[in-house]
Amino acid sequence: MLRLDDVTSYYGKTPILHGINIDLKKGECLCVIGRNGVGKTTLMQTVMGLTTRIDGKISIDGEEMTRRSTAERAIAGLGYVPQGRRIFGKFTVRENILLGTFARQGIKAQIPEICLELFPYLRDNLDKKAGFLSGGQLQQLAIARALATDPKILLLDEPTEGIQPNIVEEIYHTLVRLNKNIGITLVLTEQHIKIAKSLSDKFIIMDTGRLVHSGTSEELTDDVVNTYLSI
Amino acid sequence: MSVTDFWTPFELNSFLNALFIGLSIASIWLIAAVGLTIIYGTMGVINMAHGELIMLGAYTTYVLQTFFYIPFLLCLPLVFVIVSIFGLFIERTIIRRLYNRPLDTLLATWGLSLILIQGVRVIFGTAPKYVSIPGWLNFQVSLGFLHLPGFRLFIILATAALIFGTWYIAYRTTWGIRVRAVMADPDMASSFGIDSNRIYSITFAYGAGLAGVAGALFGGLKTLLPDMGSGYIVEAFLVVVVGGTQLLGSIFSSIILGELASIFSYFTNDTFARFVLFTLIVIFLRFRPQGLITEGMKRR
Repeated sequence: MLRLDDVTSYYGKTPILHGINIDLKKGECLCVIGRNGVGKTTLMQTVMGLTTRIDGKISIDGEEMTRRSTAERAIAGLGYVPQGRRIFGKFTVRENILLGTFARQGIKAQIPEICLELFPYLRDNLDKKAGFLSGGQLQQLAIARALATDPKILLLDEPTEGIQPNIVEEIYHTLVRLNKNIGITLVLTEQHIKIAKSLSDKFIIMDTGRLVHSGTSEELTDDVVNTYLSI
Repeated sequence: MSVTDFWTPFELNSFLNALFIGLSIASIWLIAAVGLTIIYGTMGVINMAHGELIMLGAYTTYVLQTFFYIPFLLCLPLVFVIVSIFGLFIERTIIRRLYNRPLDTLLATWGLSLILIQGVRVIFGTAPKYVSIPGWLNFQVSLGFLHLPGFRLFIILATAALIFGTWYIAYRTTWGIRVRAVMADPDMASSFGIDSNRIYSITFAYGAGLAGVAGALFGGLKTLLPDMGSGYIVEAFLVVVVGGTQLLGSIFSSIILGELASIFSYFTNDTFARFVLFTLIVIFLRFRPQGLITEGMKRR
């Protein structure tokens, strides 16, 4: 479903990621783990086409995306929930979700039911300015907005960062449902090892822009965590 | 010269007339500035050739009227389309290559303005040309002490209609959501399948089209000369800078600046009014360089 072959990514002329290889099958969930500043967000941005230059090859469903624009990748089925959410604060909740629907070609801009079914709070506040939502509600909106693109693959950058515990649990259950029930392939960066382990099928650990370890979620043991993630 | 020669004493009827003239000035400055506001607000491009797009609108109206006998009202949408297409051509061939290079864009559009002035001079000569306005707009409304020229009223109404249309597109259509998203965060907008380059092209064309319509309307007020654009560009920039590059800000700033210009002119004269107005703008920008209304979108 998502394949990265020897991907090196640059900001300007500086390489940030070095020779990343990932092979993710349909419906799988991959968790990207690593300390702050090791390149997790850059990996997400690289897949989304938001870095300056990429060497190597990125493909979705066998279709090469390396030279495609971000907009074309979104249309091809990549949904993106960025770190810090980057919600349009002066837009209404409705307008924010409608933005996502623009990735669906040839379909009338209409909020998909699943976005409101998963997050009933949003249904009741469609005309509220997004800037007035709390951190957890903003994260729900960011996920709903990405879902509105009808993604095959959903990239979530730190989806539980800075969110109160009860909302973290809600988001966790939503992600389980999206992945296990609806079959959306997930790639997420996550600081909470417990969440990473219970949600994902696979994990990769990054350090200084390189993939240093990978395995199945059962292989994400305390030893691995201590070896690669202890400060 | 005595003070009374310089200073006109207050007289209510004349003062109210001056307020109407202020509104008329505001509508002219606003319609000249609205295209500039949209282009700068969306793309961050300072288009030094904006005045020449106004001039092209005026000359296009002249050509449509003189050689194709098209009535003035029908000229307005045609001019919008023609100058929009020209704007699209400029964006695709020049502006697009210079995004994120503001100084280069400034220089390139200034160079373009010189080419357009010279081009029109070569084609039409230096003799003034005229746009004829329909006879039914040659009326005057007299409301007691107020004397409102019909064509000035028409410009105010046309400006209001164009502003409303622009607001409607920006805030009531999915196209407007796309444009505002690109204005606020182009990267995020593109991650929803929005092609920023396409938005930029169409926005530039739309802004150019509005400048063209402004030129068509100004053609009914003044004679057409190849360098007429420079007469509007200063005021247009003042409106944009004082307004803060937002549509609402431009509306407020044009009304404030237009009224101030008219009131100062009423009490003194045009030259002194300009001096006072520019001084006030400099002082205002010293304390509020971001303008009246700042960028509408806030990233979260």
